[in-house]
Amino acid sequence: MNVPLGRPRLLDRLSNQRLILIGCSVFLGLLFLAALAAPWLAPHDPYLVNLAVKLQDPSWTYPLGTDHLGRCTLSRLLYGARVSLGFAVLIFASSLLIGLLIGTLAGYIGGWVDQLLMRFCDGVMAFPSLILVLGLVGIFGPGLKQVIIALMLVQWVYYARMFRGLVMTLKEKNFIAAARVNGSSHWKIFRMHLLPNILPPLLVIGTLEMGWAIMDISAMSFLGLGVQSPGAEWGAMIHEGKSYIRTNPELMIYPGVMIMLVIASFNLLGESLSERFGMNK
Amino acid sequence: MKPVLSVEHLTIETIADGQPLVQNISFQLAAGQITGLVGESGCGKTVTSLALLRLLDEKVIRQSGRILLDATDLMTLSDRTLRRVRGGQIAFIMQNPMSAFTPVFTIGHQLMETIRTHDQCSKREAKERAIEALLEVNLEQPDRILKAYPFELSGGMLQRVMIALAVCLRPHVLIADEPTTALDVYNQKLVLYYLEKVRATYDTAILLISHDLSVIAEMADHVLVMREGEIVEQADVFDLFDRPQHPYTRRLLEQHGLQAGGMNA
Amino acid sequence: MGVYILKRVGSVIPILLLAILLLTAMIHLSPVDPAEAYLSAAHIQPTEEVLAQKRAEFGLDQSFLTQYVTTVARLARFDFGTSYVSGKPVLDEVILRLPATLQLATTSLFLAIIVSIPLGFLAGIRKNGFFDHLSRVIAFIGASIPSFWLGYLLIFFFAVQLDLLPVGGIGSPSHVILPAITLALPLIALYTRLLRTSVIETMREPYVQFARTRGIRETVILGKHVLRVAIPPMITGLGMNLGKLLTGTIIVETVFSWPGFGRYFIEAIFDRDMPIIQGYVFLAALLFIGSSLLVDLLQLAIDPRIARKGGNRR
Repeated sequence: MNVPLGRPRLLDRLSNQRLILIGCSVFLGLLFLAALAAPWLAPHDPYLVNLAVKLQDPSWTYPLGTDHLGRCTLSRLLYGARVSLGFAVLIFASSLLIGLLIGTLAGYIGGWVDQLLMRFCDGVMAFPSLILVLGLVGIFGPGLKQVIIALMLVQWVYYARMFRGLVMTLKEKNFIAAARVNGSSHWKIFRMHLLPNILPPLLVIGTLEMGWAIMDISAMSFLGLGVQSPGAEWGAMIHEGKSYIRTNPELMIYPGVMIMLVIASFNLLGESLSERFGMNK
Repeated sequence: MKPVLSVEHLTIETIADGQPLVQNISFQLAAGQITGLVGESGCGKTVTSLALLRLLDEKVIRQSGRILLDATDLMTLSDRTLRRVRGGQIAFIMQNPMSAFTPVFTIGHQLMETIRTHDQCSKREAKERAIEALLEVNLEQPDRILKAYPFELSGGMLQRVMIALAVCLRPHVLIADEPTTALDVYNQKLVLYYLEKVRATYDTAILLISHDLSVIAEMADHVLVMREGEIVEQADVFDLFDRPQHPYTRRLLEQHGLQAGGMNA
Repeated sequence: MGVYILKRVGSVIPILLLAILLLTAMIHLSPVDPAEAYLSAAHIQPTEEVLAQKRAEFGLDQSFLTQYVTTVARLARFDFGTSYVSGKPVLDEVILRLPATLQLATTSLFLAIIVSIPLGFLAGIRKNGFFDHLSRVIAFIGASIPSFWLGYLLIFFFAVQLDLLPVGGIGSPSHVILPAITLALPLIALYTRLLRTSVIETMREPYVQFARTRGIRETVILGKHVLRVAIPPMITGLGMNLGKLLTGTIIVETVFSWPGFGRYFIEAIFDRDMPIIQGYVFLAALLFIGSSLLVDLLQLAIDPRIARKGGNRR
């Protein structure tokens, strides 16, 4: 109907959105801090094997109990956060850099170089990341290092596209030249013109990609191809815990809940950000 | 002459903030007469036409007043009964013919669907009636048109199909919302010709909505001038163009380059 | 229309060639020596002679270009080489295991579709209604939950606690239920939202309003007109996301010990069975390219506009 809708709904959504943004950011922020502070926060050494106390229920000594090798579950979860979050950030930073380089190159040079690179990106984007990572790991061998590198090689394409788009619009708009004529300094140009264009998509893609990275890292570790025992990583913990599903299902449940909470937060954050920046249809 | 459709004190406002879209308008449509409804865009013409069929979202707008079709007040009818009125007794012709029909079904499918919704008849009968109606608006090769998809026909043809559809069901009232706006001059003439033919053949009361005064001047018997949800003037077409009473009407005429008294020139 | 089909099918070939090029390049760059890998998998002592012999056999001493051309020729014949572990042709091993994966995949897809269509439809016709909220929750969970964990959760509840369904393996219809659900959930999450968006957009179209003026029943308008127009974009989305299905089979087959091609692929990675690995990646590439082609052709059938206009949409 061509009749205007009432106002109140819009405000509702806006305040909900802000709540979600703040909630997720706080949760993830706390988790990051916990991961950083793990060596001090964790009550025990996550690698310490002590068969005498294996498979214990939660207690004051072991807040979340112990696993099948007597290792403290809480400590392992904390150190697992270090792995997942730490590498997610690493992958984000490096694929961002690679994407920046290649995207800017493609956008600046244009022509067949651009076409070639973009076709390549399209090809990579068509595959789900896990298959590509598995393929690379299959060819280069299993191990955490290989998984991280594989993820880096897969994720840069999204950033490359983004930077290429930016460079191309800048090339056309010429407003850098115009701004220079106005006498603006480099820094001002960067702040006023570039940042507002680059920050929103970067944040949105970044959060979603970090969620994906964590999903892939834990999936690979679960399959036994990423972090290998005795490493503490959520996916690996599920891999080890699955044998005890009948007697001690919590071994598998705790790490799974962590993975889900983290990925869900990243997803929510990314969605809310994209709504806030008006990037939705 | 007894009116076919009588609108009394129709008021439409948004529930959220009480903003009036149409304020207390009253008018009548007589059988065999063409009533023009003019006004600038946003004055409430289309809202009024949708309100007559009670197609406005009643969760968002509040509609009050009486809409008497023969002796029945449409405002009191249930949804199911209203459905029979729509298309069966009051037909509607849309502004943009290219987007009036569902793109994935053939014209024939949609015509027969409409016919069979209102009258119990077999597929074959419906098809025959559809073909008859298409021939009445001089659309050649009706068989081919029935098998065609909407995107295969031109705007003018689709407009005529809509008129044909209206004819099929022999409604008492036909509401034509800006039927000529989306068309070129030649097709405009055609559409107006067939509207007139419908009026003459079936004695249908026609509500012709347009912002184009020349179309109104040519076709209408009676004219309603609308501005910001109110009817500021209603008169016989000759009177309106010769002796416009309301300053707004005069301004409209001037804007269209039609001086008062133009019909006598 | 025939021209359009030919062009579309033809465009597949350069992409395939590029994919094979990349594959060959990566193997070339790999620090793993295929000859060594073969010998270790086959438990043969890697002496210098044997290594050299194997390398020659695999054509590793030839130039990159020659290797590429040979690979293309081989793949065109569907000759994927022989498994290092079993000694049997890769193709045979694939054919042995593919049916199980296909069974799982089609069951999941079917499940996903029959749940997504009503859910997405109901979510779209009444925004912010019960089904809309439900679809949002499902979509959120489906996108955030790791499928390997979901699998074990389901096993825990239904197999361990309630003892209703088997823990893994294949055999009876009850064996396929949990794996299919696990595989289907992320798909349902996606398809439901896709259809919902499509329905909402379609309902805004003028012809929906015009159908009402014609007096058509609301249920018919929604169930016939709106649904029929809203579904094709969902099918396109479906086709473009077959990748999720493929990734899913790898994980789900591992969790549920389902004897399919995905699980075999993981075993091959552990065994360093190169031909199998290459074969899988190549077939995966083939699948993607093929499915996007299929989706395009399907669109042709569903949307008459494309067919009659020879490939132009709207």
